[in-house]
Amino acid sequence: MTVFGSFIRGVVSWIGPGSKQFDLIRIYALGALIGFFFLFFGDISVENGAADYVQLALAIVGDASLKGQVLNGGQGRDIGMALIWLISGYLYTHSFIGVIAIQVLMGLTMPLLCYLALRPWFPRAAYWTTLAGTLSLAPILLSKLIHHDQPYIFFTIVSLYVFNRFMLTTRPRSLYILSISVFAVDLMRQAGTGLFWILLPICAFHGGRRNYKHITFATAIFIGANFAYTQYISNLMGNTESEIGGVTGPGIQLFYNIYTNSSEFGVSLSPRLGPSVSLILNRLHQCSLPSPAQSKLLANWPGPAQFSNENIYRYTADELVNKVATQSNREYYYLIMQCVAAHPSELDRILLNASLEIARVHPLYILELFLRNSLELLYDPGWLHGRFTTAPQFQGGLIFPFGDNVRVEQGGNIGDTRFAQRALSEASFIPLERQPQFVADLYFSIHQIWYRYYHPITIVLGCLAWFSWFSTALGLLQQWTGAAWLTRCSSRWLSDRVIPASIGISALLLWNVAIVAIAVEPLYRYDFGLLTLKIMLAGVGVVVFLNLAQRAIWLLRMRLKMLVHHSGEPIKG
Amino acid sequence: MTPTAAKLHKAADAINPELASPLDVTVFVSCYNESQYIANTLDNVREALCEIGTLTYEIIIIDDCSSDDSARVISEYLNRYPTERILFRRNLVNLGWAHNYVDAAFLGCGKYFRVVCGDESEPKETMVRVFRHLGEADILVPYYATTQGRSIYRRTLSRAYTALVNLLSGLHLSYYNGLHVHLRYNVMRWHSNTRGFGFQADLLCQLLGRGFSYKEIPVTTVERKKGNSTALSFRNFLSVGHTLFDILARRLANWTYKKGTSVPASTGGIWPERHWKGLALALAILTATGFYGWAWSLESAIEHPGPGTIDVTSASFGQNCGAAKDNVLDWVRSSCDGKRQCSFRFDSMLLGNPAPTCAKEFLIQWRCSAGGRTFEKLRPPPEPAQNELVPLDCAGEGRSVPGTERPAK
Repeated sequence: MTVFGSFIRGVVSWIGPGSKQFDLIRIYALGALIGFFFLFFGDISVENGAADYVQLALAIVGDASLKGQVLNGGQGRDIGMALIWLISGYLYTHSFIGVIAIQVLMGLTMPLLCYLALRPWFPRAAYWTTLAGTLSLAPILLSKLIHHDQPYIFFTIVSLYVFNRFMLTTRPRSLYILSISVFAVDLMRQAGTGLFWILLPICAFHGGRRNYKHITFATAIFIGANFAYTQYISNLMGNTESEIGGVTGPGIQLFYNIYTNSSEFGVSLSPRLGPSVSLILNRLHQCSLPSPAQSKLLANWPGPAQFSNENIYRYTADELVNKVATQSNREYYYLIMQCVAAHPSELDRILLNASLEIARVHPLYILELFLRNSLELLYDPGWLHGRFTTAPQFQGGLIFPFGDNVRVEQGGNIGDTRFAQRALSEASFIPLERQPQFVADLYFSIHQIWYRYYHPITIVLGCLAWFSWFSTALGLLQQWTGAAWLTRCSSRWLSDRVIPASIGISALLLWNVAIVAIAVEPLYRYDFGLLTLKIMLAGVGVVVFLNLAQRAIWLLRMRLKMLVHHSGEPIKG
Repeated sequence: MTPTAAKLHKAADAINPELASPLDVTVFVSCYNESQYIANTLDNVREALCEIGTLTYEIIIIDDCSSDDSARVISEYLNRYPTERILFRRNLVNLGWAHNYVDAAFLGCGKYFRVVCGDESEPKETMVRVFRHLGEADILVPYYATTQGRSIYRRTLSRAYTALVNLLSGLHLSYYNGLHVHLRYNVMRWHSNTRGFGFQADLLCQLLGRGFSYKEIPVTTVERKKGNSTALSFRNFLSVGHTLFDILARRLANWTYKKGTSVPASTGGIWPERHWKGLALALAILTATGFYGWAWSLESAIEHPGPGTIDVTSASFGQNCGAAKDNVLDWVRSSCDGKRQCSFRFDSMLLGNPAPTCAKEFLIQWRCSAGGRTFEKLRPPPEPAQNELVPLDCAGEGRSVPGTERPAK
């Protein structure tokens, strides 16, 4: 027994939580092992529209002009990823190596930041949670995807770490770093702008009166940086004063979700919704004249001829407008984009107004859509509207980002061919083809496990998060009311530690869920980005759950002892 | 030891020499032309130690050949308090503060040792605060929690000095020139050879490098009551530079020879936990090597494709209907180049629809790197269905085009 106990202690000392440095080293080592496996043997994926950032990078260094160009279908691109392309040296090397190395390094650093963010409150849980997160592949899942997702997740995690530092120390320095890190998130995607205004009130509330001055300065830094950035990107894109100042078209983005889901919720477009919707339908009608099949604007519609013939060309102009209004789908959305306005800024304005008109008349529809998408992203992600189909939202597209179905399928890993030939050759190279069989077997085993357990794990994570949220709610309620029974409850639910540890994670997670729910569809790609946050929140939830379970077992044992005692039996043990 | 030796020595003293000290603390009061302040300084020391109450102590005063009447003042003080344990030595030549510091340690017999400047610059409260922590660690390191009363120049210089010593020694202390408390034995055994003001930093770095425990104690700023400090003279700069060099050299020597620590630098935990710095360095090297290896292997694979891999030379969709030649070459090439076999998924969303009403042909021509054979694949109209797989391989499935065969590169 002693030998066995010694063996167990030995094993625990090697794999269990230890000192901070030792924990960090083991987490990094595991992350590096997994990261390098996929760096060497995984495919590079090039997302559609990824080359927009190279164009932006060229414009930054003055080698190209973006005036008159439409990036991302008029929604524009943010500059952060373009800066990473510059840092990676792509403009000189014409290779993906630099940018992938940066993204993999981000993936290796993320678990360390997660660990450090949780450790002050839950040292052991921080270790196990981070190990679980690393094993889930979440930090490196998008590291070989050529797009802005990995840097966005990385800077989100950096912001979370800095935010948690502030929750721990309330030092003003953390506030300033937070404003800079959230600005970096903002540079990757515009969602970062809103993020700052979510985190700021929490900092103000937690930091107390003595930090008000610093909060004001940090806010000023953030606003100033954003203002300068907006001006810069406007100049870079060659926009005039009347055009959209930033790079993102909120109207185009919002209208996509509101329109494509409308028929599923029984909402149809009609002139009575408002002048902008009426304008859309009118322009669509004019665009379809004399008939969709003979219309110049609708001619040569991309995609299978069968779909175009059945759903566009066989109708009259009136019939097509009616179909667009009542049977919303992704293809009809592109029809609207094609017909309503030629200039992105005008299109964006019309679509934004139309979205607001629909929301005004059907507020419940917007609420239902928002809730449905939010729940899907939290518990059952991967829902989308497909192209060249009139089918409603369906679930699909769970593709292992390091290359699904290599050897058989093609093209899935390159969605944008505007890169240099050298880079495209790197992306089309499939490393696994040249590896020994055991490497391929290991790769596909991991792939299979990941694919099989992705959904069950997502559901479990979503459920565990509720423990954190309930504990947070109890703690906040207790602070607000000061009721004695709430003090007892919140103490059992560990609220005093759960609140500072998880409030930042919850804020970041829910903000991203809300943005996706309202502006885009709950695709797997967005869920991959939120997986790290979900795991962290679930880790805190597990601590709460175990604490409650431990107490429940203790109570049960006490009850049993009392029962035995009252029945007159001697107490054993 | 032999019985004869045992008459002179105790076994416990041989293991822990500092245990032999009969007093708790030796306070060394340095004096150089301090006739105005020395009496008050001595009063402060006595009052501070009396306030603690539980410490047995002695005071050692060394007058470093003062030109004023400091010696007379001290003698009078000794006469005034004959029952106090005060030892006074007067140097006939000026030896310097660092020299006297070590001499005082040899003269004293307390377990702990602390220096107090004779210019009454340290308030009683600060001394009390430091002495209260006696015994909590081998070394007590006071540092200034506030910088009130100090000029920006002094503050900047002080911070720069601390940062420099931290950088060279690898330590993270808040201040090096406070009036530390050491085990007296350590001052004698590991005393610094420097003569300048850097001796405190030197001693501290040496002792911490040997694994002695320490505790930092925040105290309020003390400033000289008279005259200017000679710490900023050129001579002292040279001396401090020498000390800094010694600190760096010692660190490198310790690192090279992996010795010099009489007490383990860190205790507890399993082997990798104790050597985490080495592991971190190894991981950093492995990471850099890994990235280099990956980049090298990827580039080699691109530049030297394996035998029997596809090289797409032409790909056109709808050329028979007026579309440009090789209008889809990039797509097919990005999907299939460098692979042994490839099933190109026909996706009209990506490839476009150059002539909607015309029955288009989808022509792909590719070359196999092995054997130099060129295959041509021609798909007759009608155009492929959406998502239909068009196979390409280098296993001879393609039709060999006469006259197009070329030798391998």
